[in-house]
Amino acid sequence: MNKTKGMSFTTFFNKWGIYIILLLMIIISAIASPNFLTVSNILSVLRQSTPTIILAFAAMFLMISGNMDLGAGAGLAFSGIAALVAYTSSGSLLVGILFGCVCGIIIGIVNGVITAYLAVPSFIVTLATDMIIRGLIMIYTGGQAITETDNFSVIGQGYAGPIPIPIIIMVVLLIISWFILRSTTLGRKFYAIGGNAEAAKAACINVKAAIVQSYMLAGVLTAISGIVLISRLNSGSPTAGDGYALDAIASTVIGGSSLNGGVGTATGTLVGAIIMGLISNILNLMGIQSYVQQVVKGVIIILAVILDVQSKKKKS
Amino acid sequence: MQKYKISLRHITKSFPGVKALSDINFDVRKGTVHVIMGENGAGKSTMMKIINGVYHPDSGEIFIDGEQVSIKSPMQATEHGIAMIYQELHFVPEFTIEQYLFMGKEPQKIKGIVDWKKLHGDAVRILKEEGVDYDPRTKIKDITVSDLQILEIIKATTSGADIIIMDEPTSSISNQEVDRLFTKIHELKEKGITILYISHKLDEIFRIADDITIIRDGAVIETRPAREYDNDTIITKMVGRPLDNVYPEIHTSPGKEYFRVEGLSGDGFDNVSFHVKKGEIIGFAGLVGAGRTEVMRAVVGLDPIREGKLFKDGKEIQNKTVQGAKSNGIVMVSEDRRRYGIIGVRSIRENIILPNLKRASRAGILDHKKEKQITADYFKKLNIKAPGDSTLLQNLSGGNQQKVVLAKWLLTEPDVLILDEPTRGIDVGAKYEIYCLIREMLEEGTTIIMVSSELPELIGMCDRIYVMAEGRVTGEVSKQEMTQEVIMKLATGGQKDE
Amino acid sequence: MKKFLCVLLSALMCVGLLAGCGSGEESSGDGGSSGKLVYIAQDMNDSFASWLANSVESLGTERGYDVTVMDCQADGAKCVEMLENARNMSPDAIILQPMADAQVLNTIEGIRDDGIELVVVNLPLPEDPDAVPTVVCDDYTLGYEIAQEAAENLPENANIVILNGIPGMSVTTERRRGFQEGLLDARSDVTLLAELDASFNKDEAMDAMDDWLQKFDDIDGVICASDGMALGAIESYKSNNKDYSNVQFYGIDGLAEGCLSIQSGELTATVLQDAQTMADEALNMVEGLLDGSITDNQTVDIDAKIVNSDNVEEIIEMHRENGLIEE
Repeated sequence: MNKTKGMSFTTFFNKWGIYIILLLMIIISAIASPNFLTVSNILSVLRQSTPTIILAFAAMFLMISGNMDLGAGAGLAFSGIAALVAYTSSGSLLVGILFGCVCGIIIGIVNGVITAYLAVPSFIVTLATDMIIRGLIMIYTGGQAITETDNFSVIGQGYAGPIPIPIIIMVVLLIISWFILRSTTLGRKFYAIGGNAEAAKAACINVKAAIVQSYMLAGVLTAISGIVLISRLNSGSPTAGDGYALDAIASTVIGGSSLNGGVGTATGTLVGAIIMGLISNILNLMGIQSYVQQVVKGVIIILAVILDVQSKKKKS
Repeated sequence: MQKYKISLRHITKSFPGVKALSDINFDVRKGTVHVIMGENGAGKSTMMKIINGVYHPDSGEIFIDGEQVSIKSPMQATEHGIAMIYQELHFVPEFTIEQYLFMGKEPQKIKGIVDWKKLHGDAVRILKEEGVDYDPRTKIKDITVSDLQILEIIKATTSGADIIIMDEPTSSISNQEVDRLFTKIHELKEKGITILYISHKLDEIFRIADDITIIRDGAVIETRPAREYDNDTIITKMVGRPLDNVYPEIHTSPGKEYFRVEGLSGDGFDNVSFHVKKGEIIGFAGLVGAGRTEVMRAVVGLDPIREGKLFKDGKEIQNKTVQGAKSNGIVMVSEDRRRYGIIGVRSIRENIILPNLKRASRAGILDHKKEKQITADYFKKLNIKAPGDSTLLQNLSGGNQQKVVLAKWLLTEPDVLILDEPTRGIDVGAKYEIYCLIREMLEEGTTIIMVSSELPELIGMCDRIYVMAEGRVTGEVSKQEMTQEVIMKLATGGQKDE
Repeated sequence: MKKFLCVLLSALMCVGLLAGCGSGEESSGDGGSSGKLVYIAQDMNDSFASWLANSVESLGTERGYDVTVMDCQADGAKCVEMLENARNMSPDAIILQPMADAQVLNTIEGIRDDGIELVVVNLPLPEDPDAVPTVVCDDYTLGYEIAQEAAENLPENANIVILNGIPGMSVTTERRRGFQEGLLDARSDVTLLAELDASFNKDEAMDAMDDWLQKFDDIDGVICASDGMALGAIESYKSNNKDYSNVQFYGIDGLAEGCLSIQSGELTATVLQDAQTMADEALNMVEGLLDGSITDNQTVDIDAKIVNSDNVEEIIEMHRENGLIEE
């Protein structure tokens, strides 16, 4: 068979489409509002989007392995509040952060074990744990936001020089996620079990263990996302993270992760999450109300998914 | 052009990165069986899918009964009297036979309400006429592959199709069922129905072919009446080079008993015992459903064992998991590669390295250079045809996919390699390559167990053959005793010396 | 086995959900010489709603009622359910804190036909406000009062921004109307730079403020339809390292969060719906209905109370006594 010269449009779009869309959005935004293309606004948008970006990485690892976490919003709030309380009780930021991460890992283990060993679809498992975790948060906080925060806000509001700390955290996690996917056996296992779990099992991969590991990894990322968010809000708000789980999933799908599993990249996910964050930023700058923002977001998600499905249509 | 039922002119089709068909021209005479032969990836399936409306040609015309037609969907194809019987059957397992037969064309009492009584009555009559011995209320999932095939043909003819396309119809049925299919095909011919038949199986096509079109690399090599061909000339035209033997000569002498299975029982098989000598290649023959795959899956740790023991080199071993089996040096190339063999959305390189991650990594971190180097070796060794090792597996032809699967397991350097239908759905040229590979492995001392439904393949390659029927081993056949008749007798439950 | 576990898990979940429904009821107190009273709260997870419910419960018990509290859990459909449940208990009176989207009129008619008295608190009945006796602290009043406080304190030619609640809800439109008439109409020198809806969410408010800080250099006042949003705006200033000592922040609710913020000098002022007063008035109305002195569907408006640095200490003390602030 002869190869056609160069890439066809679909292959090209597959690779670069998401970046083109981002570029287009930046150009349109810059034209629509003079305040957009300033260093301080860009940093502001990135900082605002950091919790969603980190949560999108979590969603990415799960989606690549063929699963999802619909309770990521609750997990985020739980771990964030846990970290806050651990910090204020112990006086050590490190203790707080570690405790929050441990909570995230435990939630991940529960989700992972039920999904992998009891073979319940992750859709249902995480829907249930979402309710349970929200309930636990409400019981603990009594429905009230925790206002005693001491210096917790330094994580979400602090700066290292000119750069906001959340952005630094986000970049570090981006590099780690990218590395895991590209250069570790763990990443390969995620791709394999998401691509075809039965073939992966026949190829000597311990599928169940890998699923639990994916949820543990997602759990830590969810916890960090929660710590950043709670710190940024400077209050242990029990309703924090509401709706974030779906935003995270949408971000990674826009960023190229396949809903069927086996496909996805860290940089793509980053771009997808930034696109989501940009939408509200530019509409806010233009003074457009939130319901319009919802419509715009929804349309972009549909378009992105359609493009994704079309360009991935298998050659039969 | 009027005398031809179907004519193709200048049909061209490309997919991303690959030109599948270039300038296809041929004619099909009415009421004949027209066989299309070619290696896998030559373009036969693509061509048939264009005729059936699944793909649209980039350029070119299709003529039916002398008139140019545009076939934009399988539904439009049906309107032109075209029906396709697929290689991999997609069907609705929960439907009953009668529901399936009349799917989309149910008799109606008044518009919109199905007349179930009439539907049932018609179904009973049709099944009786065709000699298909099932209650029409039987569910599709409970009937055999061969019966389903006949059903598909009936469905096609009762809806008025006069062009039937068959893509590798005999790849999953027994020899008896092949006879039945061919009888049916002759019946169809007598009714004036035109049949397009894709196959690799040289020994079969001469029984039914009127004309043969040979395709290579997306282009038609030639079209001639079948009587002007013999096996050798077809093979030569298909691969472009003369093949001396279909099976390579193997000059190895097996050593002592190396791997033994004793009294193995599990789901689908009972009290199975066999052994292999070091460097030997044994075959497992049997009808579809005999339990061979089930036995091998249990041997290699994919399914649990109820009873029985395994011995390697005299010592008892356990293959409780696939990882365990691999560390015991026993691996398997699965029968259903789409389901158990390949990860379509990942690259060739990733697929090959998957069971061998430890070899290309340290402490969980991948060594990309090593990975590339290892896979490049096997890429070359197995002559995998692809633009590069980052090509996604779903974009390769069946034969090349199978080569990747083989590479994956060969890389584990197994002591015992189990092959389950290793050349199913693969063209002659690639088959020969695989046989040569098997020979190489034997020469290097690997022990091989081959499960196959192609008797010529087993007879051509194996030192000994075990035959299974209904979950049990019914006999063992030595090199001298190996004939298709003997094997078939054992496979149908009879005794060797009857 | 897999299938069995799946079914078991689903069954457990259903039971859990049902249990959750049922546990919307919390019974309290023995003795009930004044009668049986059912209180239906909007959402016990909401600070104000739980404060109100607790106030009704304790004041009601003091007055000798046997009080049962139910929770709609922020679900309009559940609200109807709870009403039905309450009706089946045949109490003497029901006090309802309705949901904005609950279609309860039919059920209420049935309840009144049974001879059970019904009083609505906090939110006028969305379908037909005049159908039932009501005790509210009007949202317009809340908006107006805080806007007046801002009008008194903002400097000349001040630039302000407004953060609104969930669009479409009457709570939101009424408070905004209060802002309009209390501040924007009253002081023509004040300029409204921009307004956005942040749906009463702290993080949305924070994001909106972030974006405004990119656009505007000189904001003098931030007027918000809730304390949560005002606090979000303050956090935004902090995280952008911007000086907000000359910026005034106004919110609505007057609960723990807001008061503590005023105490630490961040929030300028808020306005309180006093749940105690509301509960008291509601119980008065119940008594009036039961003894026949009240016969019509009147509406009682309770006053909104401004909370600023002058009186924040005593309000905090009150919250402490009511258990809203723990030490």
